[in-house]
Order: sequence, then C-alpha cells, then structure tokens
Amino acid sequence: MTTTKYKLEIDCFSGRQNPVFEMAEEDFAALHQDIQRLETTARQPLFDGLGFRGFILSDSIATFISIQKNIIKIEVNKSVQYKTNNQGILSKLISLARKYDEKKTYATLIEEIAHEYSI
Amino acid sequence: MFKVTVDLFSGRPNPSWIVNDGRGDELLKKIASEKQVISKSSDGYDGLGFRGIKIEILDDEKADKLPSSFTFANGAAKDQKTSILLARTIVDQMAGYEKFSMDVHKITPVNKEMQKIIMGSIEQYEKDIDKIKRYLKFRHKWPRASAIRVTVKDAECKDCKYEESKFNPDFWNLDPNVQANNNCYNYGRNWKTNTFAQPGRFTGQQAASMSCQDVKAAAMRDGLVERCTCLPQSEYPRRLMALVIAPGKDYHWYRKQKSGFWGHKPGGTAARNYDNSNVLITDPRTCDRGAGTWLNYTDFCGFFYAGKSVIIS
Repeated sequence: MTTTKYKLEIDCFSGRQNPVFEMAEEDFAALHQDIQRLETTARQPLFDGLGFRGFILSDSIATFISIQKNIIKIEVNKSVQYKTNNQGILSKLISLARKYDEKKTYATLIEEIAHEYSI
Repeated sequence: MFKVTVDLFSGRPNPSWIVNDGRGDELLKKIASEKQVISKSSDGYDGLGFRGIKIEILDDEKADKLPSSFTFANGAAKDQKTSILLARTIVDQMAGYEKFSMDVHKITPVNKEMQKIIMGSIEQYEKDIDKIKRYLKFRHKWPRASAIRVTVKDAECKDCKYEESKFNPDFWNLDPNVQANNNCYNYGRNWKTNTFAQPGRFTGQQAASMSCQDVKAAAMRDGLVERCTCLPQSEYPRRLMALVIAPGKDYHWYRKQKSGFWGHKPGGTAARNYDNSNVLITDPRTCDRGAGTWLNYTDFCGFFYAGKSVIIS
C-alpha cells in the first residue's frame, strides 16, 4: 500500500527543477481547509509565463491546487474550481515554505516572494 | 455553403466564418468562371503576415470544376489583381456572418475591428506582392513549405546551415505528464526525455552556478557549439538555440522555428511562441523575459547550435 505524499512547490523556474517540499498531512489539510473556505469566483486565466508563477499544493492522489497572488485554481480529479485569494493564505504559504526549507537552500527566494506579497 | 479562413496569425487562431447565403453562391459561381484567381493553399506564401484566404466548401452542391478547398491572394494565383479584389470582397462582407457562432470567435471575433486588421494586412500584402513572388520562386529550390523541417543558411554566419522545424506545441502540451516533465532545455534541443533535462547532467557535471559562463559550459559539455561554429551535414538536424540567465537563479532556452519566430517552454508550463508580454518572439535578445520582476532573465548569453550528437538527460 502506498502512502499519500503532500507537496508544496514554488512554481518559478524554467530550467531548474522548482523547489518542492514534502509536507505533513496536518499542514496540508489545514491549508486545504482554509482555501476551501475562500469565496468562489469565476474562471480566470493564471499567469504561466517566465518567472515566479505562484505555489502549487498537491497530494499524490487527485488534488492539484495552483495558488497565485489573487486567484486560486483547485483541481480535484476532473472538477475545477476558482477561489479569490487573500493575504492570510499567502502569509501561511510563506510560513510553511520557511518551515520546510530546513537547510535554508531557498531562503533568498522565499524572502523575495514574501517581499512581492508584502509579507 | 463554405467556410472562410483568413490565414494571418501565428499564435492566436485565424479569423474564420461560415458563409451560408445567396451572396456566397454568387461568389462561388464567379470564382468557377475565373479559376486563375485561386490556387492550392500549399503553393502559396507561408511566412509571417497575411498568407491568403482559404475557402472550404461544406456542402455537396458546389459549383462545377471547383476544388473542395482553395486559396485566394497567397501569391500563387496567376491573376493576382482579381484574386486580391475577391479577397477584399469576402472580407468586406464578413461582418454579416458573425451570427453563425464558432468556437474560434471567443478568441478571434468576427467584428469591425478584426475586419480592419485583415484589410490592413491585405493592403500590406498588395504592397509586398513582388517580394512574395520572389520568395515563392526561391522557395521552390528548397524543401516544400509543408515540410516539417527545413534547412536554412544562417544569415549571421558565412557558410553555416541549420534546421528549423514547424512550431508544434501540441507535442509538448497535450499530455500533462509530458508538459510537466520536460523543460526549456528539452524544448530547445527538441528531445522529450521526460527527465526535466539539465545542461551537463548527461556528461556528469552540471552548471556550478546560474551564470552565463557556467550554464554555457555545461551545455557545451553536452555537445552544443557556439553559433557560427558550422556543424557538418552529418549532424543533421541542427537546431539554433538561445540561452538567457536570471543571474544566480535560473536559466532559460529558446529554439528557432520555421516561419521566422522562436519557440520556448518555461519549465513545466506549456510550449509557446510568445513572450511575457504576449508578443510573438522574433528575437530572444529583445523579447520580454520577465521585465520588472525579481525573476527576470536579464542576461543574454548567446546563440548555439545543437546537432544530433547532443545528448541531454
């Protein structure tokens, strides 16, 4: 039986692999719950160009959540939902990234994102 | 009844509409009596800009002696003057057909604004007609325009040749696993390894830092050579690639495509031929690579050829 893996990815690079952190189930569940509580909004295009695109929260089963500054796209199996993002979620993401980047490999990168998000 | 498609854009879908009334029938009769105004789509101009108006007949009641699809004003018809006149007539009437809704209209609407763009492009085409005819005459000495890959002389270097391929983003974008596991280096080299390939990994030494010097050295260990170091025919197909760097952070590659533009694939996102300002990339040195953001690929490192012996992993 395989174990579910919960991941937080900083979606920013083109050539290099994006930084990916494995998360504890409780952190994933708490953030997922906070996101579900956000206001649902209409479909909107997400930025997918060169540069910092946002965070990706996923499990190894069916959930794939793209989180950008103002918009969140939640994909579970084939269903898609959009939510309006807020500063509280962004702040939690930064905290989680700092927490899981134990060796401070991406410390500068995370602080640049925090600065962009005004956190 | 027939479908009209204006072959004009490179990135976005071409304007298209359905003609299903008496005006269309009259037009087809006129064309059938003046067949020197039409040609096969594949015989015409295939570069950037206006490439003609394609007609596809959609019913089995077409006028005698007309092919089921043909093109006007693409540089190949014998009577160019009348061909352009007919093209203008069709576009002049387009606004009446927007009610017959097609999926493509969500992205490329059939309206007055689009009509103005098309009319402008026909005007430019008419001015350039002699140049287009010369291009078509010259092109016949090279592989067919419909070829997936063509060999071109590098205008920047004496005697060097490389291959440009037709832009084919679906190859990279349709399968989510392929899109996620292939990056800009895969796209630039045109090799789907599904490993998020890294310069130098195959040869055992990746770039020590995210600088032009180190990434370039790693890629050259994989077998890339600087532009104007001509590759022999035995290295066919030879790609022209461009490298840029976000200093200390990341690198990015572009590949020259057929039809005068560049393609790229930012990380696990979709392959495309436009930059961060949604502009078609005609020069990777000057395109928008993240201007004004903290992850800006500011440094242009150079152009490279990648022959068939370049192995990436």
